[in-house]
Amino acid sequence: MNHFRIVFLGFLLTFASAWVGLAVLPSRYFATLPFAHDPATGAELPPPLEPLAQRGAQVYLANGCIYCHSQQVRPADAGSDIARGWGQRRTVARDYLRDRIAVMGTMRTGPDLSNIGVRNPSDAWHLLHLYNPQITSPGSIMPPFRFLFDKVKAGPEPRLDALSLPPQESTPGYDIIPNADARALVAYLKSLRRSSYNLPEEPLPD
Amino acid sequence: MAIHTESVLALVFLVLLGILGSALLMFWWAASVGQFENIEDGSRAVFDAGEPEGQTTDSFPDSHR
Amino acid sequence: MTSASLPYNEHHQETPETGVRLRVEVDRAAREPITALFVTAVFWLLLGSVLALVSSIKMHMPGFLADAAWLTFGRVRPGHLDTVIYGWASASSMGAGLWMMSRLCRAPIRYRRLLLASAALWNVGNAIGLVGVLAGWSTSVEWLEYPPLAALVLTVAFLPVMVEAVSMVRRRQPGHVYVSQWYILAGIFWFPWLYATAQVLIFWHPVSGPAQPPVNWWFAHNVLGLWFTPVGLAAAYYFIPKIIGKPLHSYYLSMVGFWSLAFFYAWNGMHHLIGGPFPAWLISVSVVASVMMFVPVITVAVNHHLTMRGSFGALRWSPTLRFVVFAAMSYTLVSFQGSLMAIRSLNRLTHFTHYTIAHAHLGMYAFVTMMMFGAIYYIVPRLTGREWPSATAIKAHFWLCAIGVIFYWLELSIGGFLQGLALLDEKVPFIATVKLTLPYLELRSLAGCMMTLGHFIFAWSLWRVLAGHTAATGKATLLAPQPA
Repeated sequence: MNHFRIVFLGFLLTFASAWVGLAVLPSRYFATLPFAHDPATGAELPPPLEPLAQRGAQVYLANGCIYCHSQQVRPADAGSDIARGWGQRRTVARDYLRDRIAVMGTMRTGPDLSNIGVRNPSDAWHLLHLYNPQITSPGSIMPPFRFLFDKVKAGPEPRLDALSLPPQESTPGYDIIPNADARALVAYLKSLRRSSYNLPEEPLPD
Repeated sequence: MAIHTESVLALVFLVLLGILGSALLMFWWAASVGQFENIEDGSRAVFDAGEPEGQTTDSFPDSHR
Repeated sequence: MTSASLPYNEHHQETPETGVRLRVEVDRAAREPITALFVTAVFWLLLGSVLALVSSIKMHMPGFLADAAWLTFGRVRPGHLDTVIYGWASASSMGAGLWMMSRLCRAPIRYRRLLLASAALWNVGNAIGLVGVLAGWSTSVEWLEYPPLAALVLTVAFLPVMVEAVSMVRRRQPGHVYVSQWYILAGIFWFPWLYATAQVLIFWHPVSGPAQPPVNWWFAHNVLGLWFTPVGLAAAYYFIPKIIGKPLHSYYLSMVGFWSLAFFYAWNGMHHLIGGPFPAWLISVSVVASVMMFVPVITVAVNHHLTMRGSFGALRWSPTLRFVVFAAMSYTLVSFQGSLMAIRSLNRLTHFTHYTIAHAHLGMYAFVTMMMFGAIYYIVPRLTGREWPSATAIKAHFWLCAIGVIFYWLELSIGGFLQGLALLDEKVPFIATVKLTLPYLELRSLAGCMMTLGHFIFAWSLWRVLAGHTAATGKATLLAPQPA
C-alpha cells in the first residue's frame, strides 16, 4: 500500500458511493415529492403555517425543544406511538414538506409533539405549561420558560392576556403576560397536527 | 414524477456499480503490482534508529525507568 | 537486529544519528502548531465539560439556572455538544493526526504559521458558534447547531491542515507507508467533505424538510466514523507498538480493517432514523452496513490484542498506554453495541431513550477522548522537551475519567433501557417514564463531576508543562533509549 495516489482514489471512491447513496439520492428523491390535496376543498396538505406560527417555529428552534421532544409517529409495529395517542397514523415524508428545518428529533424526555395541536388545542394550557411546567404536569423535568413572559404591574382592569396562575405562582399586584415569542410558540404548537388528515400513501384508520 | 424518480435511481445504481467495479479493478491492480508482497514490512515504519524495535518509549515522570 | 529489517535503510544510507536528528527535527517543527492545537482543544474541553455538567443537572433539577434565556437547557445542551465535538475532539485530532503524520512521513511541518492561524481561527469559529447558540441562533440541527457563519470560519480554519497533510505525504521518505498514515489522510479528507455537504444541503442550498434527516445523520454518524474513528485508530496503531517496542501483529489485517471500515462505515448513518418516515430501502441499507461493521471492528480488536499480548505489564509504567488501551477496548465495545442497536427489534426499545446518549458517550468519550488524552501525554514532552509535573496527577486523571465514563455508561444504559421498556407499554403514563429515569440522571451528574475534575487536573498538568515549571526531559525521551 505504498502508492498513495491509488489508495487516495480508493478511499475517495468508497466515500463517494455513500455520499451518493445517503446524501445526494435522498435529497433528489424527496425534492420531487408533490404536495397532496384535500379531496373536499382542494387545499394543499399539509396546510401552510400562519405567519405567527412560522415565527413560533423559529422560537422552537432557538430554544432547542428538539432535545427532549420528537415529532415523528412510528408505525404500530415499531413502537407504542399510535397506542399512546400521539397520532392516528404514522407520519410520512409528505407530512414534513412545509418544514424549513426538519424537527423530527431523537429524544423522548418529553412526549412526541407531532399532533400536540390535536391533543392540546388550548392557548391557556400551553401558556401555563411554558411558564412553569409543574403547574399543568407535576413531576415534569421540562424547564420553566419564564423568560418568554413579562411581569407587569396589574392595572385597575383585569388584563385579558394575563395568565391565571395558581396562588403559589402569582404575586399580588402583578400580572404575568406572554411576550411575542410565547404567543408565536403557542401558535406553532397548536398548528402541529401532522398526521390528522388522510394521505393516499397513508390513510387514516377507519 | 414516477419516471423522473426511476431514471434518477437507475443513474445512481449505475454510478454505484461503477464504483464497485473500480474497487475490484484496484484490488486486481494492487495484487499485480506486488503490493501484497513483504506487506509486513510496513509494520516497522513506527521505529527508527534512535527508537528501534525492541525498545520501549514511555514512562511516568519522576520514575527511574 | 539486522539492518535489513529497518525501513529507512532503503534511502541514502541513513545512520542511526541522522535518524534521530530527523525525529528531533520533526518534533521541533511541530512544537508551536501542535501545542497551539492542543491548548485550543483543552480549553474547549474545560468549557464543554462545564456546559455538560450544567445540562446534566438541569435534567433532574429543571429550575437550576432556568431564569436566563441564554442558559436554558435547549441552548446549553447543544452548546456542550458542539464545543466538545469541534472545540475539543476535532482540535485534538488535528494536532495528534498531524504529529503522527509528520513522524511517520519523516517530514517536518512546513506551514508553521498557517497552522498557527488555523488554531487561532478554530477558537474564533467555536467562540462565534457557542455565543450564537446561547444567544438563540442555534440551528437545532443535531451536530450542526453552530450558526452557519461559525461553520464557515471552521471550514476555512481546517484548510491549512489539509495542505500540510498533503505536503507531508509528498515529502515523505521513501519506504513503506504505515496504516496510521492512511487513516489520518483519509480522515483529513473525509471530514471537510462531510461538513461542506451538510452545510450546503441543509443551510446554504437547503433540501426539502423530509430530506434533511438523512443528510443530517449521514453527516453526524460519519463525523464519528470517518473523522474521529480514523484518527483514534491511527493513534492506537501508532502508540501501542511504539510504546511497547513490538511491531503490529499483522500489517495485512490492518489493511483489511482500513478498507472494510472505509467501505461499510459510510453507509451506517440511517440507523439513527429507524421507524421514521423514510423509504424502507434507505433504512435497510444502513442496518446491513451497521451489522457488517463487525468485520473491521473484530479485525482491529484481534490485531491490537495480539500485538499487546505479553506486554500488558507495560500498562503499569506507561501513562499513554493505559489511556490508549482503554480507548481501544472501548472502541470494540461501543461498535459491538452499535451494530446490535441497529437491529430493528432492539432499536424499537432503545430509540429516543437515554440508552442512546450513554452509547454516544461510550464512543465519543471512552474511545475518542481517552485516546486523545493518551496521545497528548505522549506528544507534549516530545514537543517541549519537558516532563509532565506529576505521576499522581496523571493517574488521578486516568482513574477519575475511566471510572467516571464506565459508570456513566453502565448506569445510564440501565436507565435508558428501563425507560424504553416503559415507553413501549402504552399503559404506562408518560410522566412515569420520566420519573423512573430520575435516579439515573442524578447518577449521571455524579459521573460527570468525576470526569470534569479529571479534566481540570489534566489542564493543570498541561499548564505546568507549558509554563516551563517542570523538569527537562533531555535524557529521558528525546535522545537516549529507555531500558526495555
